[in-house]
Amino acid sequence: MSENTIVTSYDESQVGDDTVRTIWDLFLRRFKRHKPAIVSLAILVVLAAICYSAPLYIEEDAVHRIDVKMMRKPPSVEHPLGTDDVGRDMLLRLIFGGIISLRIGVLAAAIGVILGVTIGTVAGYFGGFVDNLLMRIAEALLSIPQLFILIVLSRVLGTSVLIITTVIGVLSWMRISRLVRANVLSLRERDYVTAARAQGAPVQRILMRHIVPNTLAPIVVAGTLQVGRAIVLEASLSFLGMGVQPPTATWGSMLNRAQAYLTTAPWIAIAPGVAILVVVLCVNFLGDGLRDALDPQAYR
Amino acid sequence: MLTLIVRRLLQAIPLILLISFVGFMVIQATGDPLAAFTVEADLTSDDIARLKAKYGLDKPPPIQYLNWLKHMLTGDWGFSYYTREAVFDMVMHRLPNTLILMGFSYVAILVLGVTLGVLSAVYQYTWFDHVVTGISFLGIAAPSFWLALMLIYLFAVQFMQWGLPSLPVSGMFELEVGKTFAQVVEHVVLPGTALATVVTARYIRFVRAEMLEKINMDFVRTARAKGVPRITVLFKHVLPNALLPLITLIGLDIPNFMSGTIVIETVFSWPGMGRLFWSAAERTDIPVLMATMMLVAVLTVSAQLLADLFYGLVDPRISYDDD
Repeated sequence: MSENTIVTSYDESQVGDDTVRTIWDLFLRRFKRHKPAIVSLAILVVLAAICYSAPLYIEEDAVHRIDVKMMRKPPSVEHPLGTDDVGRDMLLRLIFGGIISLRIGVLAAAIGVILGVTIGTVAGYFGGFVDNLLMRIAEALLSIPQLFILIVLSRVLGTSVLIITTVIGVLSWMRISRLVRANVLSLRERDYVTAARAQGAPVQRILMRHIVPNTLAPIVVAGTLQVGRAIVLEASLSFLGMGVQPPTATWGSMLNRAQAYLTTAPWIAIAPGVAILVVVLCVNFLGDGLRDALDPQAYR
Repeated sequence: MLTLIVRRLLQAIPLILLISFVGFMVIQATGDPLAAFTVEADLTSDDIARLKAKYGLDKPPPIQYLNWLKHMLTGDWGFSYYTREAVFDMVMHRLPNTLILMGFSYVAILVLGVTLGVLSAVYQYTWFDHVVTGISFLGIAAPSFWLALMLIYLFAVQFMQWGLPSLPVSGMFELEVGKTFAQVVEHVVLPGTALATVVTARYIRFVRAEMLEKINMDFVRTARAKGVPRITVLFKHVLPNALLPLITLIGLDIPNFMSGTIVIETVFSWPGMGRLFWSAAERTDIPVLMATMMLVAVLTVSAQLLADLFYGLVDPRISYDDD
């Protein structure tokens, strides 16, 4: 099939049984073409399944069991990824740490998206002073390097998982709100919006029914990429000791003490980092795939 | 042109004020500044009132903010809770070191990023392109501090085990030798690389995408049809157009870059502002924290302003004569 074929003129024999009926079909078809995205999605699902199902068949104790005799042992059959500096099994810590790291990543991204969409829509739709004010604040917050604010806030507000998640989430609205605002600015001039206003539709209805659904594509992409960013941010924070505190394991806090043992037990440093790398890589590919699949301009 | 510069400067000032306001609110949130004093129970309420008056804490918050702002602007940044040094001195002492690190990294980033990006685009879909793209994907996804650890592992630990000369991993220079140019260069390699890698990876992807977009445009086809040699087309027509958005990206990316310095400086014990910030955070040394954060924010805004102005200068489509 020629790559330049416009989707609307398809041939039944080439397309097969699942013909294009809805936008959802179109999206799925284009998404399936993006091999790295499919593989990444699979990897992420498997990882999440492993991590979140683990508490069902592994007791919490096994993770935190400190066995001084087994300190810093290299990978072996009994401990596939070795043990850390106090004798805890690395693989178990990695899995249980993944629960928290992934949760923080997804929740923080979700918070950021919700905030960002709200603020972006309000700013874009109402314009004027409100828009100006909100975007100035966004610019100011974007100009302060994130890690600086995060560290100070974590000092001030505490380091529980909930607080870290909220803080990371709350500091990520700016990027998404800019995207949304740009979209909303163009959308609010559309005829169906004018028609709705002429009919007397209240503002909330216009926003929720007409504007927001049409900005979903970039939001989904931005949200996905934000998950990766949130994970790395939390890892950086925990690595510096300002994030989730021991003994709770997250991939970042596992790396916190790894530096001292690079000569004697490098696997302590390698494993969590690889985990972060893999997850962020997959998230990025997924985001790329989603962007290609959702972009209405790219009929390729 | 001058009006543009002035206008942008004026626009930057409310931004910095807004940032300072955010900073001030964060300080207020850190709790009662007199807590250290009131722990000793034998302070009478008179004493407390006197202390409050002395530190201006009895004034309403807006006045406190203005006082704080005035101090900030005149260089009176207070004294460290921990070491009692003047914060201004502490920060200014560290600033050049951070700038050295950032400068080295940025040179590497620009040289490598642009070169590899351009080459990757020109030789699209060859093995070279695939290798570079693969590495850049990895680079974007890897946390910079982990890369730092891996670099240390490879170039210091492993090299030593293999008997190769190893690169130093801490500080800016060996104490015995002193702060010579050679020492600094030797010490800046690993931290600079760690700092640069993630950003370079991103720039490679960006430059590559921009180059590919421009290469497919009509004006390139026209030039080639006219008989202009490929190299000339690349360097004279495609590259300048592709690099223009990079300037904007650099401006937007600077805050991330600064954040990176915190982690990298900490890992490599590099005596810069990032490390100062981190150790102040560990001890909740508020004056140092706030001063460093404000300085970094101001630096960021200035750098972004410079990037904006530079862009305006360089992009021939933008003219400011008809303002």
